Parts: sequence; C-alpha cells; structure tokens
Amino acid sequence: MAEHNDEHRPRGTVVLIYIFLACFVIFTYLNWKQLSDVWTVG
Amino acid sequence: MNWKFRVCPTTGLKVHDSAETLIQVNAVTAIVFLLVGGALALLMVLTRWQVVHILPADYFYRLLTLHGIAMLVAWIIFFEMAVLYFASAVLLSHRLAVPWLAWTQYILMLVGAAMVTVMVLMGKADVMFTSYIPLQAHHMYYLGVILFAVGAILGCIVFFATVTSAKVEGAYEGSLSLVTYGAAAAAIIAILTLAHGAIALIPTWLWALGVIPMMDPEAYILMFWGFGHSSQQINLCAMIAIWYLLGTLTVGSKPISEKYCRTAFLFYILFVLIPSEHHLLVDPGLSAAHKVWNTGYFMHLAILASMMHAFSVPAYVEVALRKKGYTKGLFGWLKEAPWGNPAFSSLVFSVVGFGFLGGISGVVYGTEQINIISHNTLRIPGHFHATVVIGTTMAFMGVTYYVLPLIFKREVAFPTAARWQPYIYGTGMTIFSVAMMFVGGFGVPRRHWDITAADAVFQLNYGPVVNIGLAITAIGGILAAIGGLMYCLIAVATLLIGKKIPQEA
Amino acid sequence: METEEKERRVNYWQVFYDDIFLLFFLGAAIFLISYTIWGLIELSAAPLSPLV
Repeated sequence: MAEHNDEHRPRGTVVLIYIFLACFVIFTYLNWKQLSDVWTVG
Repeated sequence: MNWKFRVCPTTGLKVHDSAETLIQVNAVTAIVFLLVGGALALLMVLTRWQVVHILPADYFYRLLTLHGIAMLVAWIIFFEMAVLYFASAVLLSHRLAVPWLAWTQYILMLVGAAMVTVMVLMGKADVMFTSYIPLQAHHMYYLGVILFAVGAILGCIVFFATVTSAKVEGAYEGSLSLVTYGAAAAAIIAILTLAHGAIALIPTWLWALGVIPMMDPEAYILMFWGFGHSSQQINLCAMIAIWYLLGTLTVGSKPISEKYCRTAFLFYILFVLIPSEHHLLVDPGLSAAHKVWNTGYFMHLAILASMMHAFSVPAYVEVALRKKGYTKGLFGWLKEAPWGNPAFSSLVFSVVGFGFLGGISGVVYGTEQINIISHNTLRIPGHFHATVVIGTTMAFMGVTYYVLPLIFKREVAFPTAARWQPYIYGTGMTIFSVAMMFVGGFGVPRRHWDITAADAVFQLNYGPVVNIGLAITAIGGILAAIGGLMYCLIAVATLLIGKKIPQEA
Repeated sequence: METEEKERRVNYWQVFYDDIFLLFFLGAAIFLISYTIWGLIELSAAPLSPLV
C-alpha cells in the first residue's frame, strides 16, 4: 500500500479492534464462569 | 428492444424503469410489514413487562407468531428483493432481466405473506415462527409460507439473470462491484435457504392437509433451521453489502482491499449456513460429532468473515475521513464524521450493534456447552435482536435515506426528525437487547407469557432484579418502537409530500 | 494476441472468486453434505422410541 501516507493509516480502527477483542474475552469468560458455577464436576 | 432508462442526477447511474418500480413496490411493502411488526413488538414488550402484562395468553402467542413472521420474514425479505434489484440493475446500470418474473416474485410473496397473516390473525396458526411439529397450523398457513419462499427464489433468479445479461451485453467487465458481489452472496445463500424451507414445509403442508399421516419432528427441526437460521444469513450478506454502499455514499470511502472483502464474502458462501446447527444443540437425535463439527470448526471461518467485514468497514471509513484532513490523534476522524447524516449514524449503530452485541453473544451462545444454559432463555432473542434489528434493520433504514431520493426521486421529509431517528431507534434497541440478554442470564425463558408459572404446582421466583431487567427491556422496546414509527412516518411522508427532485430522461 | 495475453494475466484466484455459479455449487455441496445429508443419515439411524 505504497500510496498510503502514514497519517492516513487506520490507527483508530486498530484500537477499536482491540477493544472489541477485549469485550469478546470478557463475555466468553463470564459465560464459562457461569457454566462452571451451575454445572459443577464431581 | 427499447428499454426505458433515466439518469440519476446525483450518482449518474442509469435506472431502468421496471427495476425502479419493482424496487419501489418491494420497499414500500417491506415498510408496511415493518409497521405491522413494530406495532406487535410494542404489545410484546408491554406483555413481558411484568407489571403491565397487557395481552392475554392466547393473543400473546398469536401475535408473537405474527411479529416473528412480519419482521424476520416479510420486512426483511421484501426489502432484500429491493436490494437485489438495486444491486443488480441499478448499480450495473443495466436493464432488469425478465421483469414479468420479478412481478411474479412480488405477487407470490405478497399473496403468501397475506395468507400467513390472515391465518395467524384468525387464530388458526398459533404455532410460533418455528411451527415445530407436532404443533399444527391450518394448511393455508404453510401454503402461504411456501408461496412466499417460491416468490423469493424467483427474485434471486431475476438477480442472477440480470447480472448474467449485464455481463453478456458488456454492461460491466471483469469482476462485479463489491456491493453487487455481496448481493450475489446473499442471493446464493437465499436459494440454498429457501430450498431447505421447501423441503421442511411442503411435507408439513401435506401433513396438515392429511395426505401424510405423520411427520418426524427431528427431521423437521433439522430442515426448518436450514431455512430459519440460514435466512438470517441472507440478511447478513445484504446488510454487509449495504455497509459497503453506505460507507461509499456517506463518506466516499473505498474498500482498502477488495480481495480481503471478497474473501470474507467467499467464506460466507461456503461456511455461514452450517451454524444453523446451533438450534439443534440440545436436541437428542444428533451426535456430538455432527453438532461440534457444524458449530465448532467451519463455523469459525464464517465468524472470521464477519470480523473481517466488521473491522474493514470502520477502517475504510477512517481512511476516507483521514484523507479529508481529519488526522488529529487516534479518533479525530470519528469526531469529525458526519453524525448528522442519518445514513451514517445508522451505519455506525449497525456495525457496532452487530459486532459487539450480536456477534460476540452469538459466538458464545452458539457453543455447545454454553448453549446448555442459554438455549430457550431470553439471552437468545437478546442476541438476535442485536444482529437482525440493530444490525440488519438499521442498515436497511440507513440505506432508505438514500433510496428515497435516488429511487423515489423525493427529498427526505422532516430532515430534523430523520437526523434523530437512528439515535432513538438504536439506543432503544441497544437497551432492549442488553437488558434481554442480562435477564436471560437468570434463566428467564423466551416465548413465555407467564414466567411466574402462576397456575403451576411449583412457583418460580426469579427475584426482583429480573423484574427490573424486564422493565428496562420494555422501556428500551418502547423507545425503539418510537424510533421505528418515526422511520415509517418519515418514509411515508417523503412518498406523499416530499419535494420532488427534477430528473433528466 | 494482445487479448490472449491480457486473459492470461488474470489471476486464477480472481477467476475463481468471480465465478458466482461455481461458488454457488461449492456452498451448496458443503452445506448439504455437512449439515443436511449427514444430519438426515444420523436421524434415520436413531432407534425408534418404544412409546411409538
């Protein structure tokens, strides 16, 4: 992408993506935590 | 043959008159069903709000059935037909192939939707959207759904015929534009989906007529969800095609990498249909291998595709805005974005709601283990109202603000109300979806008139937090109903009293 | 000659991506085999309930 000037790089979107992935991790954790609480093994 | 075209003064696209009329009738019919479905939605939330509880049990289930059909099927698929004709004939500046077939599509879908609506309202089809066996509706209900599905298949055939004739007659060379490519993915998925609908519903129709003595409930569920969930993937593709279109129309952005976006559409075509399996995760008939294969391996390629799209749309909006000079800091471009343009704000709500709320919850709830605690709870409608309503419906609403001037040739009426509409609707639906998922986390069932089980031997008490959660859900729903009504009124007012835009022939 | 050369220069992947009818058949094959046919085979092999 030679024509891309450094100022035009989508840096904000990269941050948004990390926020998204963090939400993904938190939501997954909460659901598995709840599952482990209601469905104990042994 | 002489085809009648006009040139759009804004975009320079050649618009075939038959395509234009068909886009208009499909879009208007879609909005009528949105209005019907929205009114029913208001009754639903006012019933699930424990202290209001407005409808009696029989009307709740009856109108919930109609709400599902009007919104998830009629509003969305009528609008998708308009999108398919727009993405083929208008975007390729080509004539719509076989207009009579497109009219047959419209008439079949209209007759089918009307039959279904009448049957449900007469109380002869209190079977919910899924019509699971052994629940049996009047045979005319199934016939209505079948006619609707056949009509939609014809619409897809018209789309492919238009794209093929555009190629043969040299209307475009090389690859299809990205938006048309996305619409093609939607049409491919639609044909496969509707074929499953036919396999599920034609025997059911014969069963309701008494021709077939018995139906296998498991086989029905398998085939039904090949139709019922896959039809939401048609919405998904159409929605994403519209994201790209809205990005271009609102901020003049172009995809950073066409190959990247097309790869994501390719993943959809190949892998997005099999996650229908997650509706069967708690069913006893299928093996764990079938369930895990279909919801655990290939499905992730479809999820990857959704993330590719959901990341690329903000990226190319950001690049477009940075190129306009809004380069300050990480989010200076976001501050300077055209937030007053209802199409842009709808796009943002659609991308964020679909990705953060609908996408994340869908992946987690669709996992076999988590599905054990989320299946048939309010988490599920919370999830799909984020995907189908905040995602798809808001994308469709956003594009309407361009369809009105481009196809109906009128300036949008009440521009101030139009500016506010996506915020009211989007905020309402966000509150609604989040609160619903929250309440579902306590195990509150979906599709249930009385969660206290008042007449049962054992009483259930979910605690006050659930009652507050359901009240917040209802408040979000009411706010969304206001936003939805504003959208319908703005669209109707534009058609009736909107200022005409002069055209050249 | 010139057109031939131009055609040769088109990437094979692009030809694949552009062939929407081929993609239709591939999509149909994966869905039908992985979900529908496999599912129906499993259901037909499931034992009948003694209650029937």
